[in-house]
Amino acid sequence: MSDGLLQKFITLERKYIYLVVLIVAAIPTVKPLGIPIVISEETRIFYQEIEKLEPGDVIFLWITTDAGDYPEIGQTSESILQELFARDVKVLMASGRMATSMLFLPNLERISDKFGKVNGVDWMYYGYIPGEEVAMASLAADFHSIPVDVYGTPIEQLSILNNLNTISDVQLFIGALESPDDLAAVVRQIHVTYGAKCLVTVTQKCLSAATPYLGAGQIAGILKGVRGGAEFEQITHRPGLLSQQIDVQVLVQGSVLILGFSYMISDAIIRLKQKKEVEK
Amino acid sequence: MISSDPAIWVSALLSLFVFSYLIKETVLYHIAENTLVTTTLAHSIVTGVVVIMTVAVYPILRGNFVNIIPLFLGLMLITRLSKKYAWLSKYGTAYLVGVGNGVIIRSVIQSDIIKQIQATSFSLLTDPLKLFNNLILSSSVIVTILYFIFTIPKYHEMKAAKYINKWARWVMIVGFSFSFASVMVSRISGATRFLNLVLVDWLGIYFG
Repeated sequence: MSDGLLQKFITLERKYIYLVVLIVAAIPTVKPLGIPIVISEETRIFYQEIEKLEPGDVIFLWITTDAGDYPEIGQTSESILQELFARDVKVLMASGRMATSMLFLPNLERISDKFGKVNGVDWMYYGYIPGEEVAMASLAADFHSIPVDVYGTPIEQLSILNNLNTISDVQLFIGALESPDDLAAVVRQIHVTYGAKCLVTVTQKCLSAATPYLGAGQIAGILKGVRGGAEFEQITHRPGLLSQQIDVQVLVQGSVLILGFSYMISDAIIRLKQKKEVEK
Repeated sequence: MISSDPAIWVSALLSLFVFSYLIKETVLYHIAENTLVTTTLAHSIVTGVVVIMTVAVYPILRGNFVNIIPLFLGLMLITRLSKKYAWLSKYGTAYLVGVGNGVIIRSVIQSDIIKQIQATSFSLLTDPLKLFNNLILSSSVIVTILYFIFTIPKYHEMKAAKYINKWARWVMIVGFSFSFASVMVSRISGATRFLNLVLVDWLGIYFG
């Protein structure tokens, strides 16, 4: 390849690179390619834990996400919720972020209607609870510490909370977490303090923080970002938006890798040639 | 077919306004930015008021007078705005920090230290691949910890320390690279959702 071409490539303006990535991303968005999704071992382990639940069991779902991360873990939470409702598992839910209620509640109601579930009997949602880790600790110690649910209904009127007082009374804790701090809070306040089994679905950026907890057995199962969510959709036979997004993810990540490596190789070739010319 | 839902129109247009920043800082970008800031602030204020009313004020009105204490401590935080009475806010802050730290400290040693040390230790009586992985993991942890030791006199001047430090730097570079790559993949997910919103939900271009 000629030096001029290599030099042009490494000095290419960013807008052309953005354009290439945009085209690569747009094609599978409008025309899904159906790239097969291989179910990972982590997703299988996560699903096996959910399979162990019996009808009538109660689990706690803690969701912390803002609008930016909702496409990753919010939609995964919806997939998990569908599987739980399909198994007649009762779900208690709460959020650690203000935006979560706004984003999650309409979808929760839609899924509840789809499965014929009743608020207060089959599920209940506390809504946003301020205080992050302290709020989590307080709620885990006493489910009745928050006087009302997201609709303003007094807790005493919700039959789902009969005979449920602390996190030890539920069979499973599932965290949909957007930051490493939330993940650490779940491990500290739920797993270590009460010995409760914890499954988590995390954003991709939390993976480096999640790996030590997973290795130490403090997290029983994990779904990793969009890929984990897409795999969960596949394993539960309910393909949705996340499965469609995998095509785009694979192509965009592949194109970024190719562009990145091409740049590094071109730069290395030019530097080597310049070094040889200087030595001459 | 193009969407007739006003919410999708607003979402798509504001998303495009934000992406106009890639060309240059435009008026459209500022419109989107300021809309985000103001709506987030408004939502936060409304949510804050609703939470305080439901969790603190209404229980007080129903006879649960214990809630007066945290409500009073929270109100003391506002005194920070006054130069004369700002010292009162320290009581509220102290309570917040104290409870926060107390809740964390009771379990952080078990979760972040003891369990992690246990997980790093390993048995030699295992299959070769696992043993190799465990050796890499444990040695990487040890050299990284040694890299940050500054209390042993002249440790970093030793010849062996040079190689250990180089090894530790490579371990950290690989770790940080992995974190950066994870964040990048996370951002691609957000961009993917944006494309889906604009092309499929808004413009109705779909050949699935």
